[in-house]
Amino acid sequence: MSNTPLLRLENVSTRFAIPQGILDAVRKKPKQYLTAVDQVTLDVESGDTLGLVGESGCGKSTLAKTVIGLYQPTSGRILFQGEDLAAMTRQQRRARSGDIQMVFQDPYSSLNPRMTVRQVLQEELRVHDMCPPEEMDRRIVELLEMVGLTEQQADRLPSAFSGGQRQRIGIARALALNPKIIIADEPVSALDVSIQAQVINLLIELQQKLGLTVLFISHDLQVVRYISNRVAVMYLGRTMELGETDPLFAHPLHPYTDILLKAAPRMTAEARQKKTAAIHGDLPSPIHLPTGCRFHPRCPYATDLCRQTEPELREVCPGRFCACHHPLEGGGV
Amino acid sequence: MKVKVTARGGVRRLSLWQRSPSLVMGLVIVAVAVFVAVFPQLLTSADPYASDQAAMLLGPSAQHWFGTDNYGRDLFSRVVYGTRIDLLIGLGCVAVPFVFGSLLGLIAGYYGGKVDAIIMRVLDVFMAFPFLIMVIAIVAILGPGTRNLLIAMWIVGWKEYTRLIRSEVLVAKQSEYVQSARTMGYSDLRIMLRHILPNVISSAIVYAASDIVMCMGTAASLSYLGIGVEPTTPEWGAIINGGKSFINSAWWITVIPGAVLAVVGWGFSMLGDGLSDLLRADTH
Amino acid sequence: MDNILEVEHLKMYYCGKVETVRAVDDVSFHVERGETFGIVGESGCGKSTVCKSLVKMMPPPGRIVDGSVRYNGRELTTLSEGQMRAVRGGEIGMIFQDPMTALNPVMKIKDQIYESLRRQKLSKKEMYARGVELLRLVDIPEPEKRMEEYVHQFSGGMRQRVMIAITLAANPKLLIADEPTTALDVTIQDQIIRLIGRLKEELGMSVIIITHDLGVVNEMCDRVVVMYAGHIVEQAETRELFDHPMHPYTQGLIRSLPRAEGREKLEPIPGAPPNLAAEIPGCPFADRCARCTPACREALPPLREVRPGHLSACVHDDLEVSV
Repeated sequence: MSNTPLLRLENVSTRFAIPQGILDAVRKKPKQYLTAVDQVTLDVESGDTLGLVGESGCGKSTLAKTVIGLYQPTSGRILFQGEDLAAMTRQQRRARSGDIQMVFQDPYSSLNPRMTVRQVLQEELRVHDMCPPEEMDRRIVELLEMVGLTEQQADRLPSAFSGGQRQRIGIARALALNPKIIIADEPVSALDVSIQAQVINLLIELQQKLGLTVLFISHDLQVVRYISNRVAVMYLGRTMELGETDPLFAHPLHPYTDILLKAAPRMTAEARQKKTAAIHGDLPSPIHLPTGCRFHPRCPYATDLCRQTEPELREVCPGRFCACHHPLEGGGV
Repeated sequence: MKVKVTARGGVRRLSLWQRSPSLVMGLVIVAVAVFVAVFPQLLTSADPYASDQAAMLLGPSAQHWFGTDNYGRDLFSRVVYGTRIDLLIGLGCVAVPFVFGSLLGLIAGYYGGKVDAIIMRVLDVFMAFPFLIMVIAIVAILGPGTRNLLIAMWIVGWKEYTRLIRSEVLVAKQSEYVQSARTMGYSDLRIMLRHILPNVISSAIVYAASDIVMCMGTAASLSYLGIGVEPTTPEWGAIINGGKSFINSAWWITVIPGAVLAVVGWGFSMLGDGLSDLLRADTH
Repeated sequence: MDNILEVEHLKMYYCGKVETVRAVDDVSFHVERGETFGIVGESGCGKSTVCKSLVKMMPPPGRIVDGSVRYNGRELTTLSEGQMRAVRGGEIGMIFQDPMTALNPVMKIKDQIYESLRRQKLSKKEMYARGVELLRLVDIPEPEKRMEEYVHQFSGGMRQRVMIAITLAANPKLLIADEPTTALDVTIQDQIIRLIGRLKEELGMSVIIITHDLGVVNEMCDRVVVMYAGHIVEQAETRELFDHPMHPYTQGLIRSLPRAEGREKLEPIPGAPPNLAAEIPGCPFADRCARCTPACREALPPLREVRPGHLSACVHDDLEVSV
């Protein structure tokens, strides 16, 4: 590991105030907060594909939107090539927006329904002065071909495209500014299985060809396993486990990772025999977090220590981090 | 012509009539009204202001299609010339609130917070007064006449556009295409005008079409109450007002302009209806 | 074993003004009493539409053009709307993907349960007792307290449980679950899958599961049909289907999923599903199929038995490949 990773998150937290009614405000009731991302620390090396995985409400999307600047972090630093993005003014931030780009989840709402593909790409290249006007058409064709679309499709509106094609347009748009990092927020979860594989393969191909660094967010463990070389498992705003993909999946250290792996429906013969659920109980409310370890109410191994003290994310073995007082020995699966 | 592209790339053309019959009918009626407003002299040679003592309160006939009024003026030519005035009032009343109200809604919805709160509280104040009462009060202060009528309608008309656009902007702001525009580092102005406005303006356009009808109706009622345009002007409401004393002996003075007003109003309503069909289908 | 439901040559078309969409085209299958039957396919393949047409709930301009649906030997397609309503709220129960929109936000949970108990003419006290019993049956903690609450006070998984409880109130013999776990998180999905499995056993129901998720099919279903573009392309027992997928589409689906074991490259199916408004003379999958021959485009391949009890709609023999 080099000393300055491409992207480093240091204790990043993002909190939202819960809207109060007038009556509550008059009665001076204390404001309630939802801590969507809680003290997350992550390094992303150049060329990495880091998978962020977790259930809904775990903060993975909020974290992505904080990194890209849609939300302002409440505390912590977001260091991109050593510069703190969170401390920048809007102008400075805007000038750097080309370096980190995002692919959104919903291919149906992420494209302006009234702009053709060409208009979308043209606007982007023009606003950022990325391309002289005489080069424009060539560059647009190049981008479209890169994602497997043709020049003939450039003048169509998004409504003429299928979900998979729209996601390709979203990727072309993200690539137009030659970004260093692509944040992909559930880019395939709205797509059908057969189309999903097309888009995943495209992302991998582009990542290798262009040397991109990818932050890949998904709730689908198998997809994350397939595409990432490192994985962070999040639960209620915190990183629970972080490490290289293969060892993490083969031998999860955190009970939550273990349960996630066991709960996902699989196509194996053993899965067919399973009669009881991997875990009982619901996700707690992110507004009223449990004391101690936030996973303890659902954890089969919880002890008094877990109920009282929140475990820190610590390096259990080289490159492998886990936030648990009692990590599973040799993994659970 | 709109083209519907099928998944296999085959192209299928739908006529406008198939897509929205009410739009076509509305368009026809409005087009006729606009034609009449632009070229009244092609339809009638009679002077709408010329009174003829010998031809007072005549019923519809070959010479006077819509009959004559109590001053012996030819009603057909008065209705024809009135078209221009009524359409101008309708469009004039709507154009300014449409632009101004929509922009306020866009700003309120996009920026939210304090800006939104201020705009919406001012709007609440305007909402608190009944529409017609407020128009009458303003006209009473400024004095009657076409110009003051327009000003009164502008003052009361913007709020609906603001509310409509604001609520649509609140939805559009959450959509991923607006978020993605923000991640591209686009300026607020660009996002508002180029990415949000084209996607939210359709509801305001649809509302404007029916608002024109309302404004024409309001203008006519004010003229009827005697505080709209000058009484001699060939305006439909004023004509109807002029005929009210003769309703038993000369029904045509009130009924015919009333029917014309209703038909043109119906045309604009259908136009608005059809537009909303079309704009909805456009993005799906 | 006898069949609780028999569907024969069902055709449900959306007869629009300008075009006819053949959403379900000549579909036949049966559900055995006490089994869990899966219908799997991608969006737009007609899997949901099939189930909506079973109970005549297809949205306009959908029409059952041909075919028959027999529930316990009784023809359903010819029933009047009133008779159909009695079947829907009685012997056949349905649960949907999104419990938030399927539940009424301004009614207490108990009142919603009472609604579906109304037909049984119980006293207020009996209804309350039955409601608590139902909530307990679907593993909702503190059922007495929860009876008085509203939907927004429930989490996603709990809402789906409530939805199931309300459906069970009418004592259905056949439960149709349309993507019951798609909107849920994996750990909650896992719980709901087990819950439906357990309830099926305890209450002696038959279950139809509609899903796009092959993993869910594997864990829940005894038998399964694979649908593509309004047609059934393959039908088999679940184990048989995953061990020996015979139709190129099924094989393609399995190959485009990342496998748990390793990192073999994904092989997506090229292209996209066909437009159902256009006439497709041959096999609907021909355009995306690597094994397509001229014969595939001539006529629709019929479902035929390719292994014992295993039907596939492909003209080719020697289809078995390891996936």
